[in-house]
Amino acid sequence: MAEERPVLGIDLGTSNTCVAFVEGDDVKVVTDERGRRVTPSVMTLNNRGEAVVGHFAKAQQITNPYGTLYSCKRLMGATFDQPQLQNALKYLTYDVEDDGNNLPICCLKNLRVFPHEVSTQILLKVKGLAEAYLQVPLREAVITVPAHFNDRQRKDTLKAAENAGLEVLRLINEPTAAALAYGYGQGQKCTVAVYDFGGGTFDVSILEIDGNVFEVIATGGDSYLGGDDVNRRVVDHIVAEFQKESGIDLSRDKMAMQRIMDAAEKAKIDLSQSPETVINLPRIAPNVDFNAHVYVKISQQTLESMAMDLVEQTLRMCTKTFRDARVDIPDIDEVILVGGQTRMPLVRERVRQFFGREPNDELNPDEVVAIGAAIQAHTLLYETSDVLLIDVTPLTLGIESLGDLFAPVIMRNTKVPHRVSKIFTTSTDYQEQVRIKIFQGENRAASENTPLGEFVLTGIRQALRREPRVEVSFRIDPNGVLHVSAMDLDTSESQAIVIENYAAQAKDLAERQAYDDLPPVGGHEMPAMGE
Amino acid sequence: MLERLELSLSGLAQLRDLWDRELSSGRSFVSGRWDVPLRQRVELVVAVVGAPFDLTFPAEVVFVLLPEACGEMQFPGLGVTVTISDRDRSAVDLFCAGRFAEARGVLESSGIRTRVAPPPRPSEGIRPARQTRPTRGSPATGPVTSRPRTGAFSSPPAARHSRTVRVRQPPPPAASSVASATPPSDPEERLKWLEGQARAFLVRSRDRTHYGVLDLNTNAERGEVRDRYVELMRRFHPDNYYRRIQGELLTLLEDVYQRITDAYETLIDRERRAAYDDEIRNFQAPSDDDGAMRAERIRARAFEKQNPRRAKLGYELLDEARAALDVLKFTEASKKAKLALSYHPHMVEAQSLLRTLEEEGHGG
Repeated sequence: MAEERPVLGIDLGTSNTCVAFVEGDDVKVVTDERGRRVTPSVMTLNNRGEAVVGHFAKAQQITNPYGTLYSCKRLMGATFDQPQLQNALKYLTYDVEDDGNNLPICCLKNLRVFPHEVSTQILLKVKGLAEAYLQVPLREAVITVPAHFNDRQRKDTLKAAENAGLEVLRLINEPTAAALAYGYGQGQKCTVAVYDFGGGTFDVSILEIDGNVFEVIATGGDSYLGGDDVNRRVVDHIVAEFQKESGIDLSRDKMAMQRIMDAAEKAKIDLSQSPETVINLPRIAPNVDFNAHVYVKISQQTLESMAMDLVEQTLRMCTKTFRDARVDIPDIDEVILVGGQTRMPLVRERVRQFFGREPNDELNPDEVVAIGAAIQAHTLLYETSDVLLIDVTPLTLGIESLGDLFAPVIMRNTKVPHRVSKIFTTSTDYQEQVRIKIFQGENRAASENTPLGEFVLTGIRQALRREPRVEVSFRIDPNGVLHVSAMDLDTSESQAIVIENYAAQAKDLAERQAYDDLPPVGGHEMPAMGE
Repeated sequence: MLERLELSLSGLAQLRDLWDRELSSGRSFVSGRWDVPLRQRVELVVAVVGAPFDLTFPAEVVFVLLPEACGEMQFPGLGVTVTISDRDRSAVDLFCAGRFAEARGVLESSGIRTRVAPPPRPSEGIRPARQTRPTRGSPATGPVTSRPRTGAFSSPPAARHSRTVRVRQPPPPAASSVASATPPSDPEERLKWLEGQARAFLVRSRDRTHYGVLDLNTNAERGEVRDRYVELMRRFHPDNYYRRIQGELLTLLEDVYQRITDAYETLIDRERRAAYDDEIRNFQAPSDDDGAMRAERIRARAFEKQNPRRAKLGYELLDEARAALDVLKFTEASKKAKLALSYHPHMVEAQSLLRTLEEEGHGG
């Protein structure tokens, strides 16, 4: 075989992005010119209107709250009216609007970008870093997503990667990647649970490992529950304390909020080490009261009482996932901690109590996912190891049937790839179209679940009702992404099928720019660095 | 005595009853209470073979009996008398396959006496078949052996007889033969090999239980189920051939993957497995059957109650058909499946196997 070109494993995180690759028998993490191993998933525009991503963007965030995009992963694949999104928006310092098609779009001073376009910029940045590090052009990558990501979020991620000039070999789930990094080459046979509490999402997966075969039995989680939510509790606490003291409501002052958020995150990290910390933000509201300063003491205990219900929420999801997996907690041989939020002592303590064993924290929670992705990328492309990941779809896929009833087609925790065929017919004589709405979720009411799109079978044979038989195949591919195709069973001809979903409606950046007459962003080249 | 057992309809009924009671209960016909001298009994059975009652009575009785029989047997139609002093399976097999000369050779070499019998003479008395050769047009009332057995015996359908062999020795577990096969090292050859493996797997899985798909016993433990799953995944998971396969072969492999996974997910889960076991026990149609198939299964059940032997032989032939599939002998599999259906016309499994084979272009 020709010399192996490196392939990347990219952990595209809510707060940080990490890239790894396999070199010989080693997995290496890409570092930037200063030796930093992760890149903040933060983007801003420089004064030439070009996108800037990473440490610099994060550093200037505090002085540029309106013009800095962060935590965009939480907006990916969401609809604007979605309650979780609306909740997330309250804490974002930049503006997010409805693009007209019920999709969130981030607004900078003179540019509107979709969340997946921000991801594109982040991917471009880390791809550039990797290319600089390896001194070769790179194209192929495995990208990780939270296990609980739905179809729309996955499709958005794929789109972001495609726009960044990356060829995605596979989307893999973050906990699965972590398990792979943990169990790779150990040759053991065991059952593990991965507890992945990241910046924006929580996942728990239960896997059987047999040699290098990693089989996910069940997964659960919440793609709107993460360390960010802990930060928000701290922010709320600071804002409330300050208001009690000074009577000033800071929650509408974006500049102040940005400073508080920044301080809250630092305080949270501090409290993982020390029992108490002080948040000191002088002249927080200079326009209202020049001498108003935030001075709040937070103890570890206070933080824990604020975060307790979030942690309990994760454990409830663990219980549910164990029920899905039909595995008993004592059967677990190892609990793997992933994600920055698992550094919090409270999380460790509660996880220890829940699983009745000391969790494994030998792996670096920031890097383990990228490492797993790199191993999978290398395995897929080269026949060098017998690694096999068998993953599941996290959410039930179904269609709307009469009266807003959700009719499941593919149950959650079904191993992917998976294909199911359903036969549809007409309900009136000489009906020409059948319209089918697809949803993903666990609610019995279709409308309570995430709409994935709607497809229309057209050109149906002219016949009495119930006579035409159209077979629709739903296929979830190994990326966890849905594909739909249809065939007329009587003629064996594939049926015209039109999938109408949000992705088709979101205009491309270029098209939008022409329309909005906005200055260009950095495009797909390496953005100019501000550092 | 033989005259008493003359092949009247009531004699046949008696024989069949005995057959069902004694043999299907696992006890030997020979050691049963039917005290006819062996030689005569065998002749009687031979006579039965020549009789035109395939539809009501399992004609293969004789072949099931053969290995049990000791002593001298005459095959008047062939002009051969064989004395079997012991069971000899290979000879029986050869007989069943119509390869009489070879069968004789085997028997002789193992010390069994055979001789060419004088051509049968009509006056020769006690052989029921000849004695009772009926006049044309009176098969119902007259003796049952109405067809000249010469014709019937000289060209026995090979596969029909070989089923008897299965009574005693079921085919080796299907998957094991595949598992032992090693893939060729040449990449292109290997993909071809993979395709053959995948197709064979799908065809033979189609009408199998989940246990059959994973090639496990019904009492297999969870650990075994998982081990087998992992083993099969290592062979068939599409990711093993990432980018090296696409299009039809990829779809094929995904279908295999899904079939294996379906079976695995049912059997690994205690509750689902218990429910599935119940389903098998009660012989209920799988829920994905359509109406016609369910109806056929009901017919099959009724048929099996009435004709347990034929049903059993039909299923044994089905096993053979699957075994043939395992080694990619599509034509043979198709032949066997058809034979299975000739014994058990309502056997859904054989029907679907045959259908699949025909779809795959191996119908002939």
